[in-house]
Amino acid sequence: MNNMKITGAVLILITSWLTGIMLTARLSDKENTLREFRQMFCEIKRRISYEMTDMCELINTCTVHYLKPFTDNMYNCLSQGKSIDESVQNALNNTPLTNVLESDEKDFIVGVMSSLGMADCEAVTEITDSAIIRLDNYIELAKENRQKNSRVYFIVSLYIGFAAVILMI
Amino acid sequence: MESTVLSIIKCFGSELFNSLKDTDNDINEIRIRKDRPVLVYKSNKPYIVTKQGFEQFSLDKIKGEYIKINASQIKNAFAELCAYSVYRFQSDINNGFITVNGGHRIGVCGTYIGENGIMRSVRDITSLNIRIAREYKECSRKLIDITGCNGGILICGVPSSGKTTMLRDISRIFSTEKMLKVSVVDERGELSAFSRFENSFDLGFCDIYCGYPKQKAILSAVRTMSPDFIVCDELTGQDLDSVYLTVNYGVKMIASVHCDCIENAVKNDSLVRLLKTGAFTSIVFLNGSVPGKIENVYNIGEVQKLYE
Repeated sequence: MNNMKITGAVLILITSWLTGIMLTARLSDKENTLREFRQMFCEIKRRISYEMTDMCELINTCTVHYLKPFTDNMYNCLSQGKSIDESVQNALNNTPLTNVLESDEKDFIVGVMSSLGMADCEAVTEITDSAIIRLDNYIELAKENRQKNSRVYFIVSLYIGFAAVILMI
Repeated sequence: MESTVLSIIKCFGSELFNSLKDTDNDINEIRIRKDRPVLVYKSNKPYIVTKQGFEQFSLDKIKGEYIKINASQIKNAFAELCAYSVYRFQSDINNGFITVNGGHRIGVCGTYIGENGIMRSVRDITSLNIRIAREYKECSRKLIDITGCNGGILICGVPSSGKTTMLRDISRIFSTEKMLKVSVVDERGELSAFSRFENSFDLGFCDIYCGYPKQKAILSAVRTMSPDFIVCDELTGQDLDSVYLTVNYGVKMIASVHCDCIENAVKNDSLVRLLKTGAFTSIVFLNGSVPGKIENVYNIGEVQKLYE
């Protein structure tokens, strides 16, 4: 009986520890996704300035590997004749990796992409520059949030685990 | 109606699309003005677009049920026509037009944005004129039979008289049947309708300089492609140096200019200067009422007598 209790307690503690890790990982996923979007905007700026690639082609051949599901989804929508806002919105909502983003971050990405589609060359540089600055802020916030919350998540989940063990015993 | 034209019309909403989707292929122009009736032009005659199709234009019809397009529809359609890449068309927009898939040219009219006398862009677009490009194979056969392929040809005509169509067909015939080396200077993308590495129109075995300014393209062509002929749309007085260059390199030129008749041609200084370069041995006038129909063909000797 004691052995079973000890095994149960260990299992609860491991589960709560893993929950803490998962919650922390979700925070770093957000940070990574925002970093990849930053990289994508840098690529968009470079390719529009030097190659004048059109938006559809640019999205289709974007080299930011981590965002491939997002860019593929967006490209499919654009190819079907959907507007740029609709395509970005659709890609953001239907790609699991972008689910970690908050709604204001998603709105910001939609806004930037649709402004890019309507902008002239000079404006493209200005839009992407300011988007990168804003993304840097989002990334900094996400990083602070991760550092602060990861410890909290970890400790809280362990405490919950201990509480559950005590209750069980 | 051709699929590329239908995809343009679709950008302006389902109402206009439903009205025009079943019409035949002989529309030359579709004119869209903010909050005004949409007009289509067939054989240079205006027709007003209604929900049922289109009818001969008259002022009474304006009071009736017609289709109109608002500012926001124009803005959205313009972005879609530019494939949400307005930056890519910037220099064309500054020149007053964009060329879309299928080689159709869309004239753009709105409010000028400039700085220190240099145009930067156009905002508040209020009018779009969609000129439908077509390929009429063999339309230049008669002209080639008359002029041969031994000298330069200058094709003159009013807007929508079929100058570009004629140039396209000549390029195809010269580069395939006659096996001549032809370089096509397609500054506006109308001749080849080049889009994503595909030519919508058949230009045979031509070397196509797409989007190049005329001077750069002609210089590159004569230096590197050793062409027998250079084909070029809409020459102006500013292109005089480039025309001299082709003469000096011994390359023949086939080009088009805006002009309605020989009497006006010899009064036009820049046109006379073009003729004096010696680049053209035949001057062809197209009939404005029927696209591609030849009105007159003059030998340079005959024209020289008129302007000297």
